[in-house]
Amino acid sequence: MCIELMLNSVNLTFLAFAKYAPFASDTAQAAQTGQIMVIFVMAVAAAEVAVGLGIIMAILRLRNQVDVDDMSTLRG
Amino acid sequence: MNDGAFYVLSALAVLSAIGVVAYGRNPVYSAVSLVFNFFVLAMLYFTMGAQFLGITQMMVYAGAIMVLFLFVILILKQAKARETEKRPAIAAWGLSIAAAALGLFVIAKSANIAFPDGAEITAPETFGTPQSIGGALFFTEYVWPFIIAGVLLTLGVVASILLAKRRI
Repeated sequence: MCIELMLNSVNLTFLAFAKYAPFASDTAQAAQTGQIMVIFVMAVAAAEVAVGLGIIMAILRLRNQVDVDDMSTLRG
Repeated sequence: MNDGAFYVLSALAVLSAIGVVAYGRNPVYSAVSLVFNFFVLAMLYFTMGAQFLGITQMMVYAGAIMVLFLFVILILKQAKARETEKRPAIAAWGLSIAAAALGLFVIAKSANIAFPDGAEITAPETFGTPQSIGGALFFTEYVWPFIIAGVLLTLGVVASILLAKRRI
């Protein structure tokens, strides 16, 4: 969830710079680039959430607990 | 009016983001606070004129990702959880790091980077419309990243199904 917070903050930064400070000779293209970047960040966040939550479910099924402090070694 | 809206929305966004971290005992409150944060961010995108991204933010983040999170949280509530007693130290660390980051932002803001265009930075009229984004995405410039993002999402779907199976 905090990863989603960080990705959203990056989205907001991209959009703010696309709208208010497009550092390019062609401001239309810079504005578009910022918004396209936001779309790709959203797509990657969605894929990463799916895979991450799948990993958590697999760990829950294996150990019947999701205490992160107990999973300090790579041994399964 | 516009400034007031921006201040109110940003204050709400910051408060709900703090609520995500602060509701440690109850993860459902934390997830609901994050949903509220996504809605406030979508409103901020609308005030900036990015209509397509505001709607996409609501659909993708608040509508899909947070639903996934809530499902997993409600399944995990049936698992055993260990009570931790390390709360005050973590709160002090978090607040100090957040204060340091805020100080860094203030320093960066006062650096006064010169805008190359002078005083007329205006976004084009077709700033947030789906047509401008769709035209760039689908047809002209970002075709390859779009296709690769599609492949990545398909990979994500296949991977999450494989992770959930008992017997591959």
